[in-house]
Order: sequence, then C-alpha cells, then structure tokens
Amino acid sequence: MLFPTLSFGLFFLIVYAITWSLGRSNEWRKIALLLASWFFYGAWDARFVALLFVSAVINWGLAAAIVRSEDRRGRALVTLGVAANLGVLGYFKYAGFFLEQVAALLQPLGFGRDLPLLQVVLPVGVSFFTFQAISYLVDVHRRRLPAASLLDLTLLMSFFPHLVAGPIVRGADLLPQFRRVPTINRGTVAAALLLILWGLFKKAVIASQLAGALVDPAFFDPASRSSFDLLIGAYGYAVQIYCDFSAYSDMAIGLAALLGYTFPRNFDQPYRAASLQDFWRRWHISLSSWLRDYLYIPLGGSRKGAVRTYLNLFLTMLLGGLWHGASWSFVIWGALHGGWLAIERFWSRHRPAGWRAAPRWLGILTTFHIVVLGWIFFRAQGEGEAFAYLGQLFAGDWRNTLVTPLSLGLVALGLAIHAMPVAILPAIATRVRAHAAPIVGLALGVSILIVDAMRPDGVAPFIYYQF
Amino acid sequence: MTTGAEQGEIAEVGSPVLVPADPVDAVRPWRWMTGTIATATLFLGVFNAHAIGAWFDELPPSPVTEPLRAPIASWVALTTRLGFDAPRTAVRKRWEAAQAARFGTEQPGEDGSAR
Repeated sequence: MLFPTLSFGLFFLIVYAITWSLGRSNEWRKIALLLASWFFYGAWDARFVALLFVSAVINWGLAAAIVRSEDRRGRALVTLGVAANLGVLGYFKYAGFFLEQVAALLQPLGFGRDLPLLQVVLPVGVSFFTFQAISYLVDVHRRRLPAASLLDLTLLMSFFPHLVAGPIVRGADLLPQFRRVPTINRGTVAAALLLILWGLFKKAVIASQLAGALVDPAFFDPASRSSFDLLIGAYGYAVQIYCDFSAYSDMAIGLAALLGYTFPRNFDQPYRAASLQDFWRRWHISLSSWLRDYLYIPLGGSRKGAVRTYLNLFLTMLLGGLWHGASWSFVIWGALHGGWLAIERFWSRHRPAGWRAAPRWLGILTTFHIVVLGWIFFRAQGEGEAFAYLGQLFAGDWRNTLVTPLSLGLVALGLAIHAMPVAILPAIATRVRAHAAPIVGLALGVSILIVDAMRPDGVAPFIYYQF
Repeated sequence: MTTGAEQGEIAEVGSPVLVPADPVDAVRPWRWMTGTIATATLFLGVFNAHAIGAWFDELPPSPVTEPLRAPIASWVALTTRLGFDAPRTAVRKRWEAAQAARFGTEQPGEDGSAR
C-alpha cells in the first residue's frame, strides 16, 4: 500500500475517522492506530507483522529489565538487546550476501559449491524499526528516557506513517506524545496538507517521470549512451532520489500531523550544502543524527585525537553505507562519503594560515558533484556497472540521445527547489489557515487533480522501501 | 553530547508542521480539518472519477468489491457524460504533449519504473 495510491487514501480516511471519533480515549486511540499499522504492514507480507510484534515485546521486556538493573547488569542487557536487534537486521539483510562472499573465497579451495544458497525475503522497513529499537534501549539504559508501556513501544515501532521508510522517529520524540491525548491546530493542519501535496507532486510527477524517461534508461545500458546522456542521467538521479525520498518523508510527516503527532524534519534542501558535513545535516537527518549519536560518538567521535576522528568518520559512513544494503557498491558509496568527510575535517584543521576559505558557491558545486558521484554507485546494479557508467561518462561523446526538454526541465526544477526560501512552507501555511474549509478543500482538490493528471499509470515503490 | 537523544530531534532540527501560533489556529480546528479533507475528497470524487474507476478495475474480485463494481462504473460514466472529466483530460493532454517534445531524435524510456 503506497502513499500516493487510492488504496492508501481510503485506508487513511478510515483511520482518520476512527481515531478522531474515539475522542479523549487515548488508550483506545493508540490501540486503533496499532491495529491500523499492522493492517498497513500486513498488506506487504502478513508474516512480518509477527516479527514486528515479537521485536517490540522483546525490546519492551529488555527495557523494563534494564530499568530495574544496576549498572553492570544493565550494560549486559543493553548489549544483548543491541546484539539481538542487529542479529535480526543481519539475518534478513546480510546473510545471503555473507554466504555469497564466503562461497567466493572458498571456491578456489573447492568448497564454495557446498555452501547453501540463501534467499532471504527482506521485511519492508526492518532497517528503520530495528534502529528505532536500538536507540530506545540505549536511551533507556542511559536514563535519558523512561521505559515505555508495551502499547506505546509497539506503536512507536509500528506507527504506519514512518514504518516502512522512516523518518527514524526516536522514542524521545514520539513516546511523550503518545502519553497525552493529541490536539490539533489549523496552522499544523495547513502545513500538513501542503506537505502531503508537495510530496505527492515530487514523487508522482518529478521522481516518476525522471525515473522512467531518463534515469532508468541511462543506468540500464550506459554503454549505448553518450557522455551527455549519462551526465544528465546522473544529475537526474540526484533529483529523483531527493524527490522520491523527501516526498515520502514529507507525506509521512503530514499524515502523522493529521492524526495529531509531530515528526521531526528529515530533509532541509540538501543540495545547497557547502560541505559534505553540511550535506549530512540536511539529508536523511534522522539517519545521520542516529549514526552520530549511536555510532560516531560511542566510537569516540572527535575526542580521541585527529587520526581517530578521521577513522571514526570513515567507519561511521562505511557502516551507514552497509545499512542501505549488502553490496559492494553501497560500501564504496559509504567509503566515498566517509573519506571525503575525513578530508574535509583534515583540511579545516590544516589549511595554511594565509589561505582564504573557498567561496560558498564553490563549496556547493564541489559537494554536489561528490554526492552525485556517490549516487552513481548507489543507483547502479553493482560496482562493475557503476565503473562502466563512469567510464562512458568520461568517453567524451557529447551527443544527446536521451534527454528531452521535459526531463531537462524537471532536473532543473528539482535543483531550483533548493534555492527556495527555507521558510516558504510555514509562510504559505499561515495564509492558508485563515481561509474557510471549503475554499481550502477546493484548492487542495484542484491541486491533487492536476498532479494526478500528470503522473504515470501506476506509481513505482519508493526507493527507500528496499532498505 | 547527544542533543538529539537528550531533547528529542524535534527540539534539535524542528518540524515542518510547526508554524508560528495565531489566534485563528484554535478556531474549531478539527471541524476545519475535516471540512477541508471532505471537500477535497468530494471534489476528486466528481472530477477525478476516472481514477477511481481505474483503481477499482485493478482490485481483485471479492465479496466486498463485486457489489460496488456496477455503481462505480455508472458513476464514472455519469461524470464523463456531464463533462466533469474535461479538466483532467485537458491537463493530461498538455502533459503528454510536454512528454512528447524532443530536442532532436532522442529516445527516452517509458514512465514508471524505479531504483
């Protein structure tokens, strides 16, 4: 059940009506939301609803035990919990890849073919809810968060707006909201509706059109395309993945807000970043801050000297790459980001005294192209295909065999979005909330009609569903 | 120091649905929200009935869907006969013209695939 479909629209209208009709009964409201979330998740694969529930029960039990334990036993319990969560993630996500690599290593010794071929079905959203559970256990252990009730924790991990592709909403944000009856105000509703509409446009029009007409053909057979096609194709993917993933986040934030819950911002015009460090403060913020708080800082962060800082940055991004999936191209993507972050940090510390800092536009241009280079590895089916893409990109053939006025215009639009004023959405929301509901409803209906007329037949799943 | 974990990420990076407060915020917000959503839904039910029909056609037959199939088909036919599908058709036609435009002899792919 994808957000920009009528099936989901109908599902959401029913959930909206039921949850708000339950009035001030917060417990029943949460139970209704939990059942709705399980129904939503079961629409992909009903078997994994049990996984979600069992995971929540185990984490709830561990957190309750951690709260009652003295420090050493608490540490052992949190270690056990983190290991169990990583075990679930590891099995579903990496077991097949790991066996493949072992088989490749053993092949020369004549043992490779004896290993079983493991085809594990990946539960949608497993990377998101296991990270959510890990941060919950760590926060409870560090006494930053009180242990939640079973209902609250299960709903935290299952809540359908963020369940399958984030944002990774932490317990510190959502659990306090679950403890009180949600309220709503016109400003929030106006902003939520605008976010949903904007997300719908980015996904159904920009991302879908670019995927089908430009990016997929460019990456499918780069050898048959010109350097110009592949250059615009790479820019096109940068716009596509931004419009796809930020659209999901926008819609998730908007949908949760219509149910009375606030999610944190997950994107902040990432391609206007003037450094890679700045980029990661703007792109998938919930993941980058998770990696910072639960990986980079526990590794020592920047507290253990220059060399450890560079190593920690590199390792954090390498593991961030692996989080996206078990393949060498994600490892290369992570290594590229980690390596460049380390270089940036080194340069900021060792820039010769007389040298002026680079102008901001140069920083934005450089950062954007490093990110685009990374996206080629991220998008390609494998590292071999990514290197083939890069080889053809620099072949020097500047004919156009692929790029249409519309796809070029959408690439330009997707980049121009980043030049919009940061506070444009709240500014529009403050105007919208003052109008009568029928007027706003009509404007919303007309806008959705226009977006729907432009979208292709059938909407592809969001890119981040596979992670 | 993990500001995210200590205070919550909303405190650290904000949320796009938090807008500056105004007295109008508290004027029957639930009724306003529901009225807005209901108006948009009704509008789309009339002017985008084609999409409802196309979606329904793709649903697998079941005891829930089958009794609704004929009424929905009638509704789509009625809105088409009354010309309510004209705005959508006009936008679609312009969009398809934009999709068909070329600089030269380039051959783009087809709509609607991913990764």
